[in-house]
Amino acid sequence: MDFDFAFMLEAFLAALHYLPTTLLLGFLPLVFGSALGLAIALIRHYEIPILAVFFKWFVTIFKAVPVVLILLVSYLVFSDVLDKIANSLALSISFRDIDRRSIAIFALTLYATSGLSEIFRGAFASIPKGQIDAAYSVGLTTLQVLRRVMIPQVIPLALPLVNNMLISLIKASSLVSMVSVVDILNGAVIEANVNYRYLEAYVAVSIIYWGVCASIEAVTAGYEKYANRNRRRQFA
Amino acid sequence: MNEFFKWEYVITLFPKVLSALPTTLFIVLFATLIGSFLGLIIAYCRIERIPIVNQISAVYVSFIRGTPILVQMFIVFYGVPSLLGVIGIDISNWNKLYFIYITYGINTSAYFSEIFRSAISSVPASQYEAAASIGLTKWQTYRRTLIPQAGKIAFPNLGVSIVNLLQNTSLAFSLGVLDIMGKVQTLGALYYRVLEGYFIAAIIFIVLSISLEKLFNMLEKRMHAPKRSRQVTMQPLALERAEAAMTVQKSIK
Repeated sequence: MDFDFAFMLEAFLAALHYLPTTLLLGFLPLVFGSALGLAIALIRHYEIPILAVFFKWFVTIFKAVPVVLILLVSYLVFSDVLDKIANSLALSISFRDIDRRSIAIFALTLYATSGLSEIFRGAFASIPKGQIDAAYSVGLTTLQVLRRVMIPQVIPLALPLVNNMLISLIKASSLVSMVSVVDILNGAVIEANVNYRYLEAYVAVSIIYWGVCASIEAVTAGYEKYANRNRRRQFA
Repeated sequence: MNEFFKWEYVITLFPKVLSALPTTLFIVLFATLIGSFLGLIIAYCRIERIPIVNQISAVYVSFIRGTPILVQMFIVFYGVPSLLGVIGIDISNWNKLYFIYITYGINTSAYFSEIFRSAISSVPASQYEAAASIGLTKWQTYRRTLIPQAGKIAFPNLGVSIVNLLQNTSLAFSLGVLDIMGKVQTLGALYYRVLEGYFIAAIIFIVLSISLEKLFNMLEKRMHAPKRSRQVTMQPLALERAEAAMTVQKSIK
């Protein structure tokens, strides 16, 4: 077995070049998805008519569809529909001009939104009903209850799961090579196309992914330790 | 592509895509079997803190959980043949499906091992001590006290993990395996209708995921339901047998 370590290093450095793309594809969907997911979770928590049912189906469907499928379909739809819409609205955007990364971000945002809305909904549901009743009984408005009672409890509950979501997103971002975005995976494979040493390239990429995900996990573990540091003083 | 989406193609392509369903389900089945087997072994090694193996499996689990399955798939695809080539086994004409089974099995084992580990360690330590104090061997302790209790805790997580696995199998097509997605891609090249294919695939995945989820919920409910049938009634020990036991003990003395 010949394993070319020199080439692995070369592929590693080439892939490292595209690390910002991968991180962008991980973090931006997380930010957008958190905002949208929180909104959906609130809508479903307060059972706003029509919208709640609509988002229930939205989340169910997008949770059940694999990410690749979301990615490929959105690429296809964008490539087909965007030009027509732009033409009919007399807008001067065409498919060729837009960054492929934005399509990937759009698709990953859909994936993140469905997952994160479930995370936030679970966190909202875990707040005891008595607290909300108590808050109302002292005369807080619904917004105040949300702002002062619910959100401060939801965020620490949801943070570890949100971090897991970030890891899933970074792993899912390896799929964007299918819509011709160059991320770390694609960057390394392009390097390997010259001499067919694909194994070395993939090993190099896996080390980068491992490093990124392990450090995110370490941050989560550290945060959990920090959050639980005075657990004993609380009334459990 | 003049027409964007045509329903008649959905109808014509549906049976063709559906014919690839067994491949996908077999990947899920084999991955689950390999994953539970390896996962149990890894979880055991980590709970018992067997030196060296414990550290190796910690790194293994961290690596598998920290890398995308797409990358793992290609590492297995390129790595396993050259690894086995060193020993002198030639597997260059293996079916690609075997590589998929290996990859998904390895991937699932890491996730399952974490589920098993957290489930088994959530059983109170006093249970383990109690089992040891009445003289059960390690195997008996696991078999009769830890696994039955841990199983109930692990079950919902296993369900979620298997649904995830099902969705992950959609990547097998990038190795050229004709599962649902692979079939869609091939048919797309044949008919120039890709969007309809993706639509069908989405429907199949939605139906499969939701029905799997429902199935696991049902099983979980049944698991936690109180047992109604077969109430064990304690029979007082027959007098003669008790006496016989006493005499045996006396004779030993």
